[in-house]
Amino acid sequence: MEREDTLKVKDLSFKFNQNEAWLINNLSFKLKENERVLLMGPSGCGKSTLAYLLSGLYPEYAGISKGSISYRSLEIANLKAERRAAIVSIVFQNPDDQFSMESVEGELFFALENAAYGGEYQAKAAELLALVGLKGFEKRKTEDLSGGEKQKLSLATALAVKPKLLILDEPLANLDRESAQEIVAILKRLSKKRLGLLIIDHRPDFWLEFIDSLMLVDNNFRVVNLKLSPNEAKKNLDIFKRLQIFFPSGSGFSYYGEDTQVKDKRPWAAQSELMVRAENLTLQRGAKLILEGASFKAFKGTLTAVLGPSGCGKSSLLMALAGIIKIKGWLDIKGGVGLIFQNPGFQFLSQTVRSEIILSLTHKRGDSQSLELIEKARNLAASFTLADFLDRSPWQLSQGQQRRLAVLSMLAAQKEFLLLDEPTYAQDLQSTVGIMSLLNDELKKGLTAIMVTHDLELARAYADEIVIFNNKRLKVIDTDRYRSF
Amino acid sequence: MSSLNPGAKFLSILITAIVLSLSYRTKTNIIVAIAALVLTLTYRGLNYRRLILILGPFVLTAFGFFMTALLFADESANFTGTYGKSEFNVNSMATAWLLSTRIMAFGCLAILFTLTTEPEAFFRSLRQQFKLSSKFAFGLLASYHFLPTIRGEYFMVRAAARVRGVRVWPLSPRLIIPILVRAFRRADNLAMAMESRGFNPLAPRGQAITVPLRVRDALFMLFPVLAVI
Repeated sequence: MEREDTLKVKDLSFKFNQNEAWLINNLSFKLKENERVLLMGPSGCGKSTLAYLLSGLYPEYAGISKGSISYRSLEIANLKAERRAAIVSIVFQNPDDQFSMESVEGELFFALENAAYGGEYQAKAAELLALVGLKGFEKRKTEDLSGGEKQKLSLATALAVKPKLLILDEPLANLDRESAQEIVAILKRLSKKRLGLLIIDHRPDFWLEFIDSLMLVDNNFRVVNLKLSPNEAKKNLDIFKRLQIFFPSGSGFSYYGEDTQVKDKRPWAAQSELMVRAENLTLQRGAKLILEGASFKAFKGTLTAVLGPSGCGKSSLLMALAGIIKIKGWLDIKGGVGLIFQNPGFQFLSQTVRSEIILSLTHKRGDSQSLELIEKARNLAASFTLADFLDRSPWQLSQGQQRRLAVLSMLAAQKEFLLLDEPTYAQDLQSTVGIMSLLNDELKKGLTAIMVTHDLELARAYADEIVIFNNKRLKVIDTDRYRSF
Repeated sequence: MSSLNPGAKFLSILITAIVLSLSYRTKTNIIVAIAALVLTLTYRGLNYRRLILILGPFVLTAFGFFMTALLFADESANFTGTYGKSEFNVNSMATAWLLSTRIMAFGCLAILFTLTTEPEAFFRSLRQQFKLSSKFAFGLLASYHFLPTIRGEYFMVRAAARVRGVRVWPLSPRLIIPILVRAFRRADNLAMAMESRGFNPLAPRGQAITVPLRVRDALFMLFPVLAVI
């Protein structure tokens, strides 16, 4: 039996400011009941914006819109919050900004109370937590959860209001492979019940196996393909490559193409100068022991990738290496240390993208207005495809653009040793490769870098050495061995 | 203490504080302070470390007031007594006791409330028994959970500036502006997240936990009587 179209988007246009061009222009599409759709497009094209529009948060919170979004003849924008949530709920991109209560249980109670749930609350909360693999987490504090756990809790609270359509905005971007697979398995199970899914992700691989179709959009949010079936997607990689987004990798493909040999392009690395020597490092945060008896070395011009499960303390390790938090043991680093934070918002100190780049180039504001510097900043911005945003505030950029700016401004500061915390998180293929090749250029010039990532293939393609961080230990693995790992 | 209704407890303690502020008797102060402290100590989930940390400043302030009142008394007063070789004013001795015990009494009342009450339960009871609007209650709760985040962000922003070699002072605009910008954005994000979970302050809500109002709460309403003794 043909399923009925339930969610209808008709001639939808949206922009943030009156005197801007439309970010989304005359978009129309329909979703069937319980349909599972993967939305893909270049970073910054407006995918999150669409998510906010569908759930009625925009234009209430920002921007101007035209056209209509309706669910079974109900206009979403005209509904009250509690009725809207029972139709569309979102799992947001940033797991830190979505909890209003102190405890995991409190957060679920909040959502259940909003929906005027009539049953036994404690039992329902336990049931929802079990559903997302957080059994027994009731009394935990939300701020103490790892990224993956936050994402699971967010999923549980979104489900608590019983939406018909669940929108997931990059739900896996910050998770290790195992947690990602767990979330996907949970969603796969849920989607068999009565739940429609609209998934926004840069990587199609996890989803192809159970989604109904893909919706592909370009830079200007024009629909390139409205209902591409997963099988067609696997056969038509050209569409993805044209959009410069991650294509279904399957087997035998590599996103990073020729660049997989970058390691061999750094033959000097093995005999080069020792830049970082760490022996017997022990790291503790509060009462929690994160790292015990770790030793490693890093040579000039090399990139070390650190992989490990979400929440194992990788970010803390980088902060300790940067000297921000204390670490015990012997640590010898030659030269200045730079750190690119996991959350790029932390490191912007200026009012515009231009002055942010210039600040990195000079470390000072006063004498930074020379034409040469402005020109240099423009060139750098262009190489990170940020040239159009020089006069914008860094905080007005999309998550992906913010990350590029963070990488750019730290590279511009010319440190000898650079720490990168998930530099390619939430990036499309083009900007991932862009960031990595810029990093590679710096490595050739003698930069030493350590990068935390969840992307195995990225690590394999670009790193000289891979370190697995698990169970409070660091284990060094040669990349060649890692191929068969 | 843990089984008391937080709203009723708040009211009772508030009345005690008001009565206390109108009375000027050392004995009353001492009774209230000791009673509050004893009640705090009966709370099962008491965090002793926090108790000592909070009590410390109160004791110091009380002692400071005691000494100040004693040593810098009004010279024109008539009655003097002796203690060892030093002379002091009898009136000022009484004032010293009065002032210092008063500080301890208010301090212990504050401790009694803060250390034995969970914020979420308090707001729940304010909503249920005192008809506080949910917009206000959840707004306050959300911003209460905001505070540690802002502290954490301050730490991160300062660290980021330092790593980039940018010199910053503790309250330099370079640090404060990013934190404010983030706070505004976060407030927006949080509001959207709450709304996406169906939060509508005007709609009828379910109640996950009912905070009961019981006989023991009525009994605790007698607590202010201590201040009248």
